[in-house]
Amino acid sequence: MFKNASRGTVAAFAAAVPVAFLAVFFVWPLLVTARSAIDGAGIAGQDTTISVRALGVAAITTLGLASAGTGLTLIIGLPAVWALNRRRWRGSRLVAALLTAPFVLPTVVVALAFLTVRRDVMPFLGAWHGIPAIIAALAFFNVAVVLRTVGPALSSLDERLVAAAQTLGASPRHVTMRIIWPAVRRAVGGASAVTFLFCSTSFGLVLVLGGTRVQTLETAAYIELTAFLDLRGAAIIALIQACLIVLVTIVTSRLTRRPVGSTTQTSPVRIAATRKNSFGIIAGLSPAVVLVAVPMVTLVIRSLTGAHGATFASYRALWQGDGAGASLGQSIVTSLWLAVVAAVVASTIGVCATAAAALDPRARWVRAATVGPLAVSSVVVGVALLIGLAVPLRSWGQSTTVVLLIAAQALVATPLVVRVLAPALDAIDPRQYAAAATLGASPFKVVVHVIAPRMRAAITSAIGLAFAVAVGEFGASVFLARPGSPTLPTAIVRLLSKPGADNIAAASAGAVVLALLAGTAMIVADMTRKEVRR
Amino acid sequence: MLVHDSFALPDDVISQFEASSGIDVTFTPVGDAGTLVNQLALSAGAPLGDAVYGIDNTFASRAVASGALAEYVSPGATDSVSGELTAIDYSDVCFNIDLAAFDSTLPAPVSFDDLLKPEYAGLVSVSNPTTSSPGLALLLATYATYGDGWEDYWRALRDNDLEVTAGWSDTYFVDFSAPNYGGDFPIVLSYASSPPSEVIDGSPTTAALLDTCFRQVEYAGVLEGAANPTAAQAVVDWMLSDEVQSALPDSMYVYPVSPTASIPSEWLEYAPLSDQPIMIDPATIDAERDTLLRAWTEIVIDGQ
Repeated sequence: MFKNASRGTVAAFAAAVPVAFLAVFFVWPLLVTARSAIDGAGIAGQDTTISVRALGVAAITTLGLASAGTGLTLIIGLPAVWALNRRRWRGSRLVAALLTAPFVLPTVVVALAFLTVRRDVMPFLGAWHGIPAIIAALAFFNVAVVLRTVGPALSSLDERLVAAAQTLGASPRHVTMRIIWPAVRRAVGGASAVTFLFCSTSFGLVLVLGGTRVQTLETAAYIELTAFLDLRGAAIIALIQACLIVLVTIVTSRLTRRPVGSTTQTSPVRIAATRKNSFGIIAGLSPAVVLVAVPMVTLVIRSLTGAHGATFASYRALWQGDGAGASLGQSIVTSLWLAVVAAVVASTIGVCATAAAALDPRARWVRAATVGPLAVSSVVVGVALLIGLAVPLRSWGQSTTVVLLIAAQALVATPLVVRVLAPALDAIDPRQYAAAATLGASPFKVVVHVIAPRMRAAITSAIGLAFAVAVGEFGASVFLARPGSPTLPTAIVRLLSKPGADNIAAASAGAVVLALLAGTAMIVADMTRKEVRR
Repeated sequence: MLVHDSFALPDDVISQFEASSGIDVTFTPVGDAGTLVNQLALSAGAPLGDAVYGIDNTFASRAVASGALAEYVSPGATDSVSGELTAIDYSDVCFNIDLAAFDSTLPAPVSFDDLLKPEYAGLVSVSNPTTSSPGLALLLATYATYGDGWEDYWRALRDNDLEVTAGWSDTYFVDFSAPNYGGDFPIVLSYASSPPSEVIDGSPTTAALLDTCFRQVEYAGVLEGAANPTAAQAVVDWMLSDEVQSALPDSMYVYPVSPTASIPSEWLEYAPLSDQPIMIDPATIDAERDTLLRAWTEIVIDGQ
């Protein structure tokens, strides 16, 4: 596109933006956190009193919950994948869209939905300190991962192989084990790995649904800070969590390597479902549909139920303060503008990182580094920002909080932005740059006239996605938000700890609004992305 | 003024003060008593407000140690901590019982020891002291009562099928079997001042076990680095005025410290305070609190 020298310079400038951002808001805070884990003392002068045993229990609980969550996700997700993809039937796309929708919901919304189900519909979910509710909520989120990962593998299975095997006398079991399973095995492995990773960083769900009885590493870090004000203890736990997640990522990335050869074809022929299949399809889908629909419907009903029957009161009350503090409406406004700024920041960093990687292969590590914050979980990001920047800079006052909240949300959103942008940039034919440059276009003109128009849709889509992530961000924000001006997710969780049906109805109304905000942003992002493909 | 989540005062009392003093007061709820103190510590020097109300004696020394408080005690104070905190009100944290659950065949329990008896197995709900200030008060009360034997007491209580919730509101509003709530537990952790709210048609439905009471004192103070320290001092003084003090029982279910404040008649009848409440000085609480909480968690939550 450019002469080599200028190309390298542009790449270096582009790379400088994400590098500076990550250095200030991610690497430095992590280093400070690591140091305070090794030799720091508490803020009120006391040292940590956390025991090795408590850390062990939290680590085991984290892994145990993640395993159980992954197991239930597969048990419910695989039959649903089968029902949606083995045969062609009318409406299957709509059902698939419904079942994958939960994935974009903020954790606070899902936690509240399951809390409501536990209270109003299925009390057994509250047994054993709410562990069944946590596992069900984990599956609620991750069935979407199974559908999105395994679905394409299954639906592109070459039906002729199955037909040939059947003609040669293979039993259904034989067909499943010898043809279908090998075709989807790697996809199932990949889905399990991703699910396991998401399950081990499910802070909001465990905090809300487990009360204080279920303690994972992330909720333990939270308790260290809120109950003991023990910065060193929290730093130690955050680092253990970060190491655990990086380890899980390394192990799972080995499992998810792309298959070399496959039994799939590009445009599959799928057989239409017959009446005979309908029982199997319904049986395969019902657990997933129940799992996804019941909590969401219950949450909406709850938000419309006051102390005296059906009412819109809790939605109207969103804009009334409770006499003493900020109303939920104010926190909606706070969340909206924070998320807009965070989305713009995340997109800028994402654009710079992808552009640098595209311009100069030596800058590829910058693009890879943006995944760091996601790789160590948002709780670790929040703890690191608190210990590394918020506490040392606390005399700077309110403005630090705003900057750190935006930074936290942007850090968590950037990896997803890069995921959207990278393929779009790669899809531009390099010969177009060359042609423009040959015809005398300056590097600036190439960016404006060749790259920008083709990236516009991808960037819009990335901003939408980043907004959805930022507005629902809880794990990092809960450590940083000031009590007087909470974000919507932190305000919802605080309402839950106050007694009274009105507070629960208000929290539910806030959660429905939050779900709509994130959902709308995702739909907009998805629509523009489809335009890109066309 | 930063306050805890249970803060409430009548609007007319507040507006009267604003009119007479010319000070506009905004009350910002920060969380429960523990969260409130932690937020003060985390923002020491760059405070979230000018004054604070709702620090109790279980957390007072942490607030003082963090340097978040300015030196000021109201001239009208009856009690204070370290020249920085003015006592405003007090209450007794005690077990409450559902009167209908007990009769001659199953007599009501009286003491901490009674709760270990097999006949009360599965009837008791308390709040986690790590996340709840009445929970911490109960833990301290057992520590003061049993000394080194407190761990054995909690082991025995745990083995007697104890229920533990995250916070007082879950214990009281969800778990309590009193007619107003209909939960499953007739013995719950609450306050000596809770029974008046449960009087139905002139007769009490619950009672506090006065031999199990821990005296909780709540304080107000001025924050270090306050933008308007003079107004902050005026607000702390106002918290001791007869208007606020007399409004405290109905608004926040606590007893006023001022001897000249009026107390509602049903309180005198249904919310007597303990004759011999358990009291521990803030310095001891500060020295032991974290160790007690860790050990409690290992015994009761992790089942060691």
